[in-house]
Amino acid sequence: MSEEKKVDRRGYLKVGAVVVVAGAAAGGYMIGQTGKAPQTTTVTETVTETVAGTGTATQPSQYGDIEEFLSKVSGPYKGQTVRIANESTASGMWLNEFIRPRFEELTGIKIEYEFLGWDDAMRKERLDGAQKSGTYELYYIDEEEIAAEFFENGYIVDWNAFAAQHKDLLWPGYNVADLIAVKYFTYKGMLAGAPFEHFLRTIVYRSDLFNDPNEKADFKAKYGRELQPPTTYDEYAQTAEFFTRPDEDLYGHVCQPNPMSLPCDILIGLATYGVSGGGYTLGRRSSVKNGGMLDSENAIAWLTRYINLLPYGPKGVENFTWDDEGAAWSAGRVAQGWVWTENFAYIEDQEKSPKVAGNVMCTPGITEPKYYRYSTPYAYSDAGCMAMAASGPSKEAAFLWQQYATCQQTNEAQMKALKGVAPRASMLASPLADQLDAQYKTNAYAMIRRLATEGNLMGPFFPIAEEPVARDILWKHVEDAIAGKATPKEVLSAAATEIDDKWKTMGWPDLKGY
Amino acid sequence: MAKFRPWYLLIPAVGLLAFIDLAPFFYTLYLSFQRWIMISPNPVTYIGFDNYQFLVNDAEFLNAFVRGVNFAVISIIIQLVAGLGTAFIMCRKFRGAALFKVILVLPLAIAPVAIGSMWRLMMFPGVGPIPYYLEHYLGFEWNLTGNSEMAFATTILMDTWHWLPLAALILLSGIAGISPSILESAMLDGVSSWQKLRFIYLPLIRFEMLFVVLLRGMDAFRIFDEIWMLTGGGPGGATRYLSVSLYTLILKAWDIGYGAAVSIVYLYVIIVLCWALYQAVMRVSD
Repeated sequence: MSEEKKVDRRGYLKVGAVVVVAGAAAGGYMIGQTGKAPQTTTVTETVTETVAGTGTATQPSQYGDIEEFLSKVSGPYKGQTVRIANESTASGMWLNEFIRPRFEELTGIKIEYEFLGWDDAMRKERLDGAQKSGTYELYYIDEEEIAAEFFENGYIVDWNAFAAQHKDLLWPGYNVADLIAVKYFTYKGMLAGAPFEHFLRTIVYRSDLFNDPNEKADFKAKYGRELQPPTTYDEYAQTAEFFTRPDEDLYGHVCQPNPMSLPCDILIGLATYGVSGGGYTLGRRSSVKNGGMLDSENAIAWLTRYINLLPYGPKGVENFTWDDEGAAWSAGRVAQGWVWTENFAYIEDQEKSPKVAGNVMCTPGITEPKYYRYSTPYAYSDAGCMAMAASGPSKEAAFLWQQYATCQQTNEAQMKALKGVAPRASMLASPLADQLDAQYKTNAYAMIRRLATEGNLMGPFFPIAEEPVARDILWKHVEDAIAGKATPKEVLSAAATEIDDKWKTMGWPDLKGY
Repeated sequence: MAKFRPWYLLIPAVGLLAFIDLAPFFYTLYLSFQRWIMISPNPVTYIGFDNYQFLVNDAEFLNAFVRGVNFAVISIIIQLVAGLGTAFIMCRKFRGAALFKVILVLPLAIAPVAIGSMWRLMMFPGVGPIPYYLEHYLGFEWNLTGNSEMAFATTILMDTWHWLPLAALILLSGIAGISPSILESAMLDGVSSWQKLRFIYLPLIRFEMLFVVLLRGMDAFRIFDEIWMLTGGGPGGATRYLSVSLYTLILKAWDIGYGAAVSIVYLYVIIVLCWALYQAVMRVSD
């Protein structure tokens, strides 16, 4: 018996050696491939490359003033390091790759980005803020309620106050008020930071499929009306059904219900059904009986619609993250559905998305006529800013980086490179926006301009510091509806009650106080 | 004085242990009596046993606990049975045995987070090869993201894939320790394979089997990384085991006080469970 069980050491060594050599060879090959990553370039080069590559007129960047200014004032901060905790957004990574090197060259200030998943970024920032450990100079913030929370807990400083105290470090040509998302990051008159990204979460469709004569004829024969971009959810559900063809790996709907992501679609959809602020009130109430709207008829109707649309999505859509959603678009698996327009950076890239580049068009916003109230902004206007950490040791250097990363010239290059990002109001009205819309046929800038003009751009949440607690409770229940374990009415009722109870335990006074 | 010397010599080790183990424990215990939601500007407040009182009626906690126990028990049973079978295969001489052993132990060398990602890629509907082949060749739709039972089964399958080699190696050591003379006597007496398993192998490798249960019981009950990567606790909370629930509570909802209370109870349960299993192992060992 023992003789049989003797381990053949030579055999182990032989096989082990083969595995190691094969692994090393594969690893070496892959490292060689990764070594061919895009080269870091200055902003001027990027702008030229991007525009030249698409055959339009080259606008050389006008960096003279701010670059001269930064070179002059940055002397005392040379050698300092600005550490930034940032979600791995397209804009953040673009700034790191293309703008950071030039800034470092100009100022001698080192910029260190730490790119994280949204959850991780928030976790690290909160812990750093609470411990005052000074690990980061800048925190990524992308929602009003987080700005509120960070201000209330003393994690960040007011950008406006800092600018007023450091006028010598503020470039005279810098206009922070022109940044569209400033309003989302202003809490009790304090500004969390200069927003460096701003884009939409919206419904888009494949213009090549919607304009195909055969598709149009088939659709008319089946539904008795013309095939066109949907303007109501009933129309949307019809086109979703029509384009859902698993045999062709084509689907009529996509969204991102993954429990690790934010329940953005739920909250945006609520607004299109006339429920603002996610169904909560500023007085921290969510159930109808307490004055909220989370378990209202409108909210139930929306969640029912949301669940009913899932069968038209690609397999596994119930667990899609925003990356899965973007990948489905990029691969041409979807005819219509949600998207973050910042993902146009790769969806509209001919090399990365050959099947769909030039064929993805934004729809006018969809609302539900039966429930929508015309005073409710319904288009999710997403944004992110870099907020100055109260415990950060190099605030002045961080302040200079914020200006360079969000100045008009950087924003111009950013729009050209990322295609669906619009940080500044003045640039929405510029010929560049129209030029990009015409070039990529997305209609993204026209949509943002129109929604902004109509007052329909909404920040996702009320500035309630405790909102993330409510969000997690809501999501826990919504998951049950997605999995078919409970009805929308049951889950929203349970969520609203639990959230109300939670807010009470968090020190909010009884209803009599409101 | 000399009689106290051994105690003095113990001071550095005890001090280190106190710093590493006891300080966090008592801090967590202290927190469990507070109301502290970190994202709220409200101050930390002493609330006595309120968190524990809430816990015993908290459906989320109780469900997560039961789900975790189910997961651990089913995983361990499968790994014990399959591990025994694998150990018997490893006892035999056959062509490619060395390669078999190397491949078998490879999962043990992979980080849990990588295993979760791998399995997500392999099992994700519409993307993964396993659901694809199951559907195309067997007509069976495996939906990790929309079907609670299938998600639960996938987590067990993944855990078994990861830890079966460990169970097999431990059981192999037990089988290897059985004296050949016992097996030869049994053969001369003409016992069947089943009788050999029932009356020779199983009684003589009881220690190793209990050891597998002890080790895997502790691990399975606190599993987190793989599950978080594979399902994120979904669909509908079907794979939200206690550790996943705890993570959400503390690092997403930032309910530090209540999270501390759950942690203390969780720790207590694991200690009791391990103590019971340890006693069983020791009894068999004696």
